[in-house]
Amino acid sequence: MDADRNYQRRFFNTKILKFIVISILLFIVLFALATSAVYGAWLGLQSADLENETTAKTAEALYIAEQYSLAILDYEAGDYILAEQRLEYVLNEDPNYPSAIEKLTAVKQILYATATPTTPPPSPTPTSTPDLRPIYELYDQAEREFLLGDWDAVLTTITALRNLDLQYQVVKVDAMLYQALRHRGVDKIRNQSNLEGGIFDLALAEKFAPLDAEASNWRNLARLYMIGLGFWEVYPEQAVYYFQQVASASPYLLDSSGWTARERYRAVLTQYADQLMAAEEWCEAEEYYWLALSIRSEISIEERRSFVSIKCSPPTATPAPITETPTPTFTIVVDASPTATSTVGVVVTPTPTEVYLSPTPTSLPAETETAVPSATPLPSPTETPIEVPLPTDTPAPSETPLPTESSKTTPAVTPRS
Amino acid sequence: MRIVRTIIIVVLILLVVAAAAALVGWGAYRYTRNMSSAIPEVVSGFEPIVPERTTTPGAGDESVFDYQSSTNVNQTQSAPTLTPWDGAGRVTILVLGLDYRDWSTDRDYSRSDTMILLTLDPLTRTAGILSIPRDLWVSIPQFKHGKINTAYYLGDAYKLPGGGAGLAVETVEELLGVPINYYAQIDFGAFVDFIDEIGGVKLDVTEPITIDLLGSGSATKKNLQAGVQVLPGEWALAYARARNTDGGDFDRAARQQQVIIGIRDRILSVDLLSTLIGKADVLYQQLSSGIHTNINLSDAIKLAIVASQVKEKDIQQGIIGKEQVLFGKSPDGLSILIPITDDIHLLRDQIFASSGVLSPQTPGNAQERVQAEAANVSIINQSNDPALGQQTADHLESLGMHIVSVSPGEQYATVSSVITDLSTPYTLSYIVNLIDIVQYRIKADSDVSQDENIILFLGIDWERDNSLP
Repeated sequence: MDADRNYQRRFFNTKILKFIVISILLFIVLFALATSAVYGAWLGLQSADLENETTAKTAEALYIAEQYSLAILDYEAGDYILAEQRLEYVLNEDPNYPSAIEKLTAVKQILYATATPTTPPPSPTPTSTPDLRPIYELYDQAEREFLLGDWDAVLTTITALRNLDLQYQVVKVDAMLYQALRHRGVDKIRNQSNLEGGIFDLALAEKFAPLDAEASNWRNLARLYMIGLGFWEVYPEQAVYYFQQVASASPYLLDSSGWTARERYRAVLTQYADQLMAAEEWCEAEEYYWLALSIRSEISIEERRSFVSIKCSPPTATPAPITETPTPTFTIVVDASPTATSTVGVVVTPTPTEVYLSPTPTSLPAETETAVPSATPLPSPTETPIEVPLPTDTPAPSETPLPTESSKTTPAVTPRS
Repeated sequence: MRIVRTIIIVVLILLVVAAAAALVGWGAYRYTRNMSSAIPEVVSGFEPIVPERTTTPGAGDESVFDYQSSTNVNQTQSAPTLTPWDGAGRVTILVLGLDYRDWSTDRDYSRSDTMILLTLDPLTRTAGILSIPRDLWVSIPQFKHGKINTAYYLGDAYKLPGGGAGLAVETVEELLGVPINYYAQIDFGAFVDFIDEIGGVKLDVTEPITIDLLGSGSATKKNLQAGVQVLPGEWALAYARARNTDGGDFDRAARQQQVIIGIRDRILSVDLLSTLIGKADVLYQQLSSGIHTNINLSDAIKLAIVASQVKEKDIQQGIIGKEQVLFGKSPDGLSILIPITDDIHLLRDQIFASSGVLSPQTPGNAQERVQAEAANVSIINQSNDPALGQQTADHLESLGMHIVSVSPGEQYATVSSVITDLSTPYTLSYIVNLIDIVQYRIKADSDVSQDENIILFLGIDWERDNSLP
């Protein structure tokens, strides 16, 4: 019995031992596998991160180098604005990029050699997360920014303030918004070449109250400019109509591409004259070439003008003296000894006062003459500020002057109790 | 002998285990490495393109540089970085879809085929959608005038710092004047995947239409009958791309907006938003290869939550359509749409300026707002009626204005006018409407007086036609 029992015990112990050993082995195997997997994964992650970082850095460096190379090409091609843009990008990404700062300086010297210094408009300082400072602090800050005329900052601060409390000092905040939007809108049009941005700001301001004459005039100028731009290269006769008004009132109004109203006007005059020349309307074409040349002379335009001039008034054996002027603003001088190759003996000399030329109303294409195939009427000329005085550098608000200071400070004031 | 055998077996087992462990480790290494590696975008080489760059008049040619130099141009011509969203104010996103013809032929650069501006005002929970037709004739910054759909192409082809999306954003900003915070260029595949992920989109097809699924051949043509139906991703994409109805591109823009609203409704109707947000990071990873955007995941989730709270009646929808354009031909004979600036402004203002944090928030009607301002007003009577000044003063005072003084003018005036320091807009608005003062008779002067906000000059027009009690 004892032997049997001992055998059974031994057998049982051996089985347990085997089970334990196998379990341990299995555990070791699984542990090894798991450890390997985890370690492998960790190494993989590390390696991928390192590779990603290296790849990103390499790609970024390549991209910056490419932008720099393109900037050099732009510079050599005379496209200084794009070169400037690319170099600024390069320096923003890598301030120590070799030679970039020198090249940017050179570009800026060329670009702004004749520029008049202006104070750059304040840049917005947006935050990526809502500002959680106390409301009153934001309100005080908005007031300070308002006094400094930092309109971008005022609008950003008020947005943060209203995110916390829409009704805090609501009357005063609305008044600040009205003024900030009005001033920023005018500033965008007048100083920042952002015509549409300015028009939009003024539209926002107008939700509070009507615009004053000055703001309204600037908006109207920007609006006329944008309407004219819509017809660019497509319907030059329409573009002439709109740019003529803008160029007369504010010749140096700039758009974002660096064109002035005056240059746009000159270009559309040329485009229209080219179109008339193609239609063999020689005399009218000459008239528009003259208008363009009176703004700035250019050999190619002068050649075309000469050509249409010959076509308009072919030389005769006994040239008759010209008694009629093509436009009221030109002085006509008749050459006494014309030659066959001359411009039919007519030399038109723009007078020094012809800076802002106005084509005679009869010479301009009427609105109804447009070939635009649409039932939608074109913007009505009556909406243009013909009745309203257009702003000069410091736009006057009205043609009929508002009451003067003297009338404001009239002696017979009746104080109210 | 037995011991030796046992040792050999153990060593073999250990070797197998080690090999297996190494294999597993290597596998894990490769897997995680591949999963975490970003595939760098292949930058294709530069190729010359047809459209010409504009030359700023005078630049590079000092002899003709006789006009005022572009003093401030650099502000708008810096690298096209988008206006960052401040997290509170209005946020605007330009959604771009590329031209399938360019995309399917594997061209290096694509034109944009779809341009939709989405705008959302988190504070007032209002939103807007504006579709811009691809043939719109616009000024493209740095380039000549062209169709708006070429902006994306040019930005990419010329490798501008902001790429195609950057130039497209700049172009739209210049067209409309509204700041754009984000862009999202969505590939066809990503669009289809997303629609399928939300279980299709329910649309009311108003007229039978033939749609063309992606691919080629007649098998891709499908007929959709009129009626409400749930379309899977591929069909929804084809429906949004179809332009074979009478209205052409304008109808297509309307269908695209219908799909956008349909997606919104689908997400809200089955409360998918929380599910989608729950797996947003996975979804983001899945779709990220097909959506090129500068919206980060955190802002995307924030915007999705806010967008879900906008009621349908508070979504303004607009299309730059037939009423806002003229049909024309470009110099090279292409069909183009010439913008009617004033009408586009009206549409833009309706969508972007009618509400929001920068709009009037003072409660009440016009009179209550005037009372809240309690403006100081002086009146100068330039009419023929000596009593008109006082009568007007009494009326304005009854409305809540503080009348500082009433005095006769030194001269008569035929029309009424006003000088304002701009600090009391509601009072100004009320007076201008009451007296019917024309815009060019409103003068802004910040130094009116310390005690006055508005000086009102009454003219003979007010004497002849007034509504005083």
